[in-house]
Amino acid sequence: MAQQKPTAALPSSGLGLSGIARAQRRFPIWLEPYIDLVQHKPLATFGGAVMLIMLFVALFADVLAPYDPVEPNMAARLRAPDSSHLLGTDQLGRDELSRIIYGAQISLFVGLGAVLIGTSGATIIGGVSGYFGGKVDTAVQRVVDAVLAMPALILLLAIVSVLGPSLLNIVIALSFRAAIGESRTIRGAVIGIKENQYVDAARAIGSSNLHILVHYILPNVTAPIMVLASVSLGGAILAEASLSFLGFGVPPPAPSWGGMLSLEGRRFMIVAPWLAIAPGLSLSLVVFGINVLGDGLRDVLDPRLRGTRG
Amino acid sequence: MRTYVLRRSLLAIPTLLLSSLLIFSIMRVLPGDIIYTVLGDTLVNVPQSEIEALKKEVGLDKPLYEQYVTWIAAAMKGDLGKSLRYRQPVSDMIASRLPVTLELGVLALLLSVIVGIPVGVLAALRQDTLADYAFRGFAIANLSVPSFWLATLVVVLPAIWFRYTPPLAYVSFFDNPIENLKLLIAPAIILGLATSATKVRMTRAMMLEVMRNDYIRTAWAKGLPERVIIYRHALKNALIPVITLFGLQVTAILGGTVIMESVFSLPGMGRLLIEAITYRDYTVVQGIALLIVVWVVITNLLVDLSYGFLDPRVRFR
Amino acid sequence: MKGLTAFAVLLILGLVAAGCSQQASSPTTEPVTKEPKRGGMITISMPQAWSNTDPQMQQLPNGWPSVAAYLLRTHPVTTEVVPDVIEKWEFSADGKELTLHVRKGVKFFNMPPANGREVEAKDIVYTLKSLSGQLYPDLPPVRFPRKSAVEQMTNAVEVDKNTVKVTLSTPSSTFLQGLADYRAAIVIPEGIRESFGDVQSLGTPRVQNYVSAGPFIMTKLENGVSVEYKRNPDYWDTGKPYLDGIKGVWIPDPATAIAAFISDQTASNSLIKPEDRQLIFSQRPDVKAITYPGGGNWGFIGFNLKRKPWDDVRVRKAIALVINHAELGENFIGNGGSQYGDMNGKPLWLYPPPIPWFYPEALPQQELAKMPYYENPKSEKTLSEARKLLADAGFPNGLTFDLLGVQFSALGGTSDNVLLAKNQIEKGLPGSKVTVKIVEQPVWTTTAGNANYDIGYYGYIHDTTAVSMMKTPFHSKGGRNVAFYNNPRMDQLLDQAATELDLEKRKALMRSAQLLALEEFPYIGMYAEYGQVGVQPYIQNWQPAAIGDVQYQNVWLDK
Repeated sequence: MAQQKPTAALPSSGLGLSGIARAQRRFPIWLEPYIDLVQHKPLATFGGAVMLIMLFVALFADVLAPYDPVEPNMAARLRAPDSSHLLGTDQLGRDELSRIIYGAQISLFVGLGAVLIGTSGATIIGGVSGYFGGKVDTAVQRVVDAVLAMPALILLLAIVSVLGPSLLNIVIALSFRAAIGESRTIRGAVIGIKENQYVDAARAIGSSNLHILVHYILPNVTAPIMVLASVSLGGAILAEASLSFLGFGVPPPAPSWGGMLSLEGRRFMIVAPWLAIAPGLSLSLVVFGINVLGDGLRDVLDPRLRGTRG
Repeated sequence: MRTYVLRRSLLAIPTLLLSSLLIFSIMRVLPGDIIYTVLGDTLVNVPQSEIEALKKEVGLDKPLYEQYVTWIAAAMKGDLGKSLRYRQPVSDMIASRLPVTLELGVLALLLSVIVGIPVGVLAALRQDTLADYAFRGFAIANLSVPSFWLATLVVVLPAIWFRYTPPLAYVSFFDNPIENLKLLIAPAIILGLATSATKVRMTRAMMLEVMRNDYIRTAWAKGLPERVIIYRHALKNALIPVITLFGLQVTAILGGTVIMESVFSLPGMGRLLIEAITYRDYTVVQGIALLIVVWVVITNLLVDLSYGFLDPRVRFR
Repeated sequence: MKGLTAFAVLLILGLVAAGCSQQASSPTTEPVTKEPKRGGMITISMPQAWSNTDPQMQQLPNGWPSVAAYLLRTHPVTTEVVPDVIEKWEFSADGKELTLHVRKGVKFFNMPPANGREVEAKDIVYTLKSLSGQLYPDLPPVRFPRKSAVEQMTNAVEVDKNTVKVTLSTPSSTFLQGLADYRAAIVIPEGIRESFGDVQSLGTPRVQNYVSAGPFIMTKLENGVSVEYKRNPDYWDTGKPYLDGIKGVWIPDPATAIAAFISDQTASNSLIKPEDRQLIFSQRPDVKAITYPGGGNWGFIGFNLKRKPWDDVRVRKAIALVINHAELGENFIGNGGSQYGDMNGKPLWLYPPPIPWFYPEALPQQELAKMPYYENPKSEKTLSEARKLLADAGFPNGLTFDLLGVQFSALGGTSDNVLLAKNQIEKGLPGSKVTVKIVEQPVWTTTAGNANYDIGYYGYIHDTTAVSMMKTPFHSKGGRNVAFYNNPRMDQLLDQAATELDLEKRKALMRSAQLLALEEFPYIGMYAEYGQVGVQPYIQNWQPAAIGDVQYQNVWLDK
């Protein structure tokens, strides 16, 4: 069992510095948790590296991809990986490597879209509900409960069906579900913060609700938001894959990893396994990376857990 | 206590009504009509009078609010209407499919708990060691591979290697428990492992937090064996949030069974739901969705009420 | 010597008798080289649950083929009409009267309401009038999907216990095939619906509804899950069926279905996709490959002639000229392999005439091959002609449009054809930009029904005759005319063909109609194929039909 080192009165940054030395920080205080992450959490660092690579690939897809990802080339169909096609080609002769590279764009777009819009939405919903309480809270929570009572996959299916399968509509559907789903956690956090004395004090001096929300509540929910965001990012990417399997994902010829895995990957699983291995590994690796990164971030950002390591 | 129970129970009712409204509206907004699905190949040159007659037959000629009210009023009496596509009572169809989904869901949930909680505890105890990374890595790996993919591998590879596929025809547990479990064990494991990851994390996190507490240090100092400390003190408190998770996971698992049922050809409710959405069989989708929603709301209500028993602070909020 | 001669004569007589009785009973095409063995069960896999199982109101066969005795049947290869419950028939001289002779000794199953009695003329009349919808004037006519096949029927009456007289408003070249429709020409006991209480009662899938006089009897049904049939001991074609029974299971996922076939759990699997063939034959080289005329759907690209610029024939022709059918066929259907006997190395795809290729009236392959539309590879002459046509129509820089495709099922079904077609159009008509939109089936049917699209890629199941197959999309009043094509000359040709009983004259009319279709192009047929199915090596006499299902009473197991 990990031993507890004596800590000083100031909140611990986990670097194990004793009281006096802490006055001379080498890094700005907000950066410290991330340095901590790299130094002490190899798994999470690996996850972070995967994410950065994916980001890089997605941003520079146009430069990195050797071929057009959607143009059929029937003369070159179903080729095993070779020097001209490093990951082989699919049944329409499209270069698998290029499709994986552009797929990173799509997965990132889906994931980040769902996270940014969804988490923002959740913050607003949860924040308002938690902060104002009373009738507002009761009403909003009824709606939240109603939406959450439906299994996510089915709700997503229905929304995508209504709007029509497209990249944008899938992001909308995922954001909607994330916003509702995550709002509960944020609401809980806001309620916790609301009880604090400094909030009462702020009210006493006449600060407006908006001021309090922005300056006191919001900074303190950043940690749970970050954790939620990391969890939902992986979930969004996987949800798109499941939707593709059921026929409601990003429609062809768009090279989404989920679509490539569930459509071509399954069809040609034995006959052309590279068509399954490439998107399958990419998908799993990225989701794995997101998750371990998220875990690591939670460990370093959550003040309650900070003192639990050596 | 009584007011708490009453209040929480009453709050469930608007939730249920809102959900039913949501379900109903989604189906009506879906593009594409059941009427055209009934018409099949004959798409054009159909006299409008015939289309109207078909609509009347399935009750789609009435205004939307009237359709909703008729549906929900009947549903409250247990009548979920008839499938527009199969002309069978929806409740019959659900009754025949429900046991499969339930069994799969229960097995998956059990497995996720049996795997998730002990692994979470072990990971907490061996925090930051190789074992911790291994356990967490394993848990997250299960979460990172799409379930339909694992399921496909489990079905196709044995056929290729050993000429073996799981039995095709579904056998109920009561008819032949061995055959039944042979059918369900693979999908249950896949689903269970996928959902165990969150339990691993949660258990680990809560254990770590609880173990920091003074009373644990005291027990340690007193020389109590590790096992006693874990079970009697740490685990009990750590488990409260895990129970919440349990409630939430019911919905997640119901979604997961959809995919498992499709790949493993299980005659469950999830598969029925997908087909019904695909063919715009409104009554079936509404019936199943309503059932799921009722189930989830009741489960959550019970979880909330159990908090009232477990944690006195909650009652007086 | 005398004895030997006598023996030879007897032998020959015996063989001839066997040959004759072969003809009177269910048709087969494989020469019977071995003696069929009795016994055994097979398991069939199906992808989609049955909806509305009333034989005369259903869209698909929905479990009836094993159970049904039909009025008449279609020969699986030649598509000729052959007897079943109706043993003989005669047309009157003017073609407006048809006399049907009911085979004696055909017994319904021992189930209510027939309880084992013989099939009589009144049952035939009931069946016929259900087919046409005449029996139920209160139900919307569209509930009877096959009524157009028998629309010339004005009345059907019982002459005596085994004779029915049908009166027609005009002579018809398609009426008999309507009586052989594998989806609807199923003989059911008179009054069965009414005896169950409700005219729609046969629509709900349940065992009690499947009352006919066919080779198997349904014993268990859980729609979408599994179904079981057992041999009918009183089947009129004595000696058949050979199988003890059949089991059916629903397997929604095609990958799972192939796995089940590879591990010898199911009897057959489609071989149409090259990757499926590759997988199955690499694992099971012993599987028998069977090719047959057919192939499921007639796939096409349809234009909405109510919208600009699709009403301009130059635009449609330009697109038709750049579509390369051979490229589609080569890549998505491919050639036969060593398991394919004399189709080894030969293409399994064909040029698509405006109607499915296996009908006698269809334009022959050699003639199609010579047309620029079917050229492969496309010559510069053809391509520049296409561009010129498009430029003349006002689009010198190509066309921009949405191409609608249908997602045929939630699992399975590919959009590869549509994507390749898009590619061909964009390459052949430079400057064009095609956006592919894949929609679900109900969305397509509603969209097409409301003329709310520009171009769509779709497919139909084969109909029983060439004329009906062409009428429904090309005739101005046709039920599948999603192009909203209206050409009085086409209507005239098709109406004439419908009443032309002489095959050669009909062929001439249909030829003109097809050539007209290849001038005006309201639809572009995309490709055609041989039907292909793989069966376990011990299965004998598995003959899929161009139009219809396998006739399971002929199947036997060599093990």
